[in-house]
Amino acid sequence: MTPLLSVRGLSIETEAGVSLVRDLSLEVQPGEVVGIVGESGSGKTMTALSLLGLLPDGVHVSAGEATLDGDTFLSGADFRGRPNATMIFQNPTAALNPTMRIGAQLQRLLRFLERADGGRTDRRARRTTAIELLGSVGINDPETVLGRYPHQLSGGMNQRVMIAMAIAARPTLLIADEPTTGLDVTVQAQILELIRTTVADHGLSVVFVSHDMGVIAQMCQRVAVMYRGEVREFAEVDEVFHRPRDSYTRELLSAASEQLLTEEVGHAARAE
Amino acid sequence: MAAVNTTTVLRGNVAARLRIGNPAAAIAFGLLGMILALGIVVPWVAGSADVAQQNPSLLSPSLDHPFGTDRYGRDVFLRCMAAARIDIAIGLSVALAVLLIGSVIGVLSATFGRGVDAVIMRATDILLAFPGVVLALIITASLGKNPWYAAVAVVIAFVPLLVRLSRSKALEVRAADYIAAARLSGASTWQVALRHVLPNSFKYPFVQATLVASWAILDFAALSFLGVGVQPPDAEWGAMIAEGVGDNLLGNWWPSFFPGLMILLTAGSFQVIGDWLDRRLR
Repeated sequence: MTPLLSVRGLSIETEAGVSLVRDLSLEVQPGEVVGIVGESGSGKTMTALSLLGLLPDGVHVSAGEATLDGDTFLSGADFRGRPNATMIFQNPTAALNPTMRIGAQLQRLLRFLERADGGRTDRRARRTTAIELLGSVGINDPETVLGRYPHQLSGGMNQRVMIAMAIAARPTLLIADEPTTGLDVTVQAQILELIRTTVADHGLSVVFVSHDMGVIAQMCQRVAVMYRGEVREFAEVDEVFHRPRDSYTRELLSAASEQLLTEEVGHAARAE
Repeated sequence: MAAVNTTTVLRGNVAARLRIGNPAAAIAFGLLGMILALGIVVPWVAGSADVAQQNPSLLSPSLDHPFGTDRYGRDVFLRCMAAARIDIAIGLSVALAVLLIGSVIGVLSATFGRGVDAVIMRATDILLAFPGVVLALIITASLGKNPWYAAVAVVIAFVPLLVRLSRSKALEVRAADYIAAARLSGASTWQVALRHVLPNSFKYPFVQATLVASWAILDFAALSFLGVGVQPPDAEWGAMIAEGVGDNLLGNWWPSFFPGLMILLTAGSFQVIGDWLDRRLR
């Protein structure tokens, strides 16, 4: 099977020549969820941003190429137009313009998409589409939410809105950069479930960036473990969790299980 | 879910925002309002006393002439009030023009970056190399003695300041996730700049604009004092001070003192209001 996304030899550097990501290779099959896991500063977010041409100032791709659906959109420092991919961000409230209502942001996006398709643009039709989109991500009263500003909604609601905006573009690839890190645990579970069903419904491929081994285990089929800008291990989730070949992966797993243990102890103590 | 009823909360917020809650700011608003109201009403009722009057010249302040009369027998109070219209209007419109031009240029500079940014920043460097009044004086002197030129010159003198301020704020906003999200959803750089960066970085330039209003009044009065702004016999505080300065030597202090006091009160009020807004919006 030909992979949907294939990244070969990707390297990212700062202007000062500090290397952030070195020689990263990754493949995502159609409909597959691939995780990138690693500690803070391991380069996982930079990798995600580079695939969409959103690297911050002073950081650039120095080598490597990326292909989506047979179309090479990234080759070295040359970014040739955005691929058919969208992204959901770590902090959903910060990823929505605080000075625009949800409805305005969603409808702007819809208008842009319609124009890109060369289709007609009708305000009322767009509003109906917006309401349908919000409904499809489990928002109960979409009409009220359209009139709200992001700061009036909870993080979970904003993340739902972000997911709605992400699927509006009918992408083939979704990049999720720690989509549940800023949310509390119950909302986290809901959002993960929503991502899982949305991805299945639309047949999307996903690059799922997280530092949480538990979330990765739930969501992904394959996972790349990153450490200091390098992929240390790229294999099936089961392989990585049960038979880790790399020393760093083992450390990461034992750290995660310790954390789990202390959390459980904490719960038990509180329950008493 | 987050769909709480926010309408009542909002109403409470608006009421809280309308409360001034600071005695100094309340006094500043009151003073400015009073000067503006008198400036509109008094010339309309009693004329602006631009031409020589029947009154004796250089009468000291009294009940009939609260600010006295100048050497042509014109009532200084009437002239001060006639000048208030011009000066406050100039202060506000200069501030508004500077705010609009400066913040848009600053935001474009930050959002487009690279070449555009470099060119705009070097241009502001050049303009900022001159002190504001001197730059305005050079511009007005080379264009001609005309209050409109003087106002435009003051705008040009202050625009670079706001460009810098709004650019620095815009650079911060530009790094936000929602800007990346907007780019991702197909917004052009112009749209990103004007629709996403500008509204979110507007607060600081807005506060600064109230201070610009006070500086604009000072600079405009200075230009008129130097004879390149408003020309006699039209009333303008700076021009009035220039006319009355000679009388000081003989102890007739009022023809120049009262216009000076008006400048102080008006510019001071704008400063206090700016300070209040700054704390309010922070």
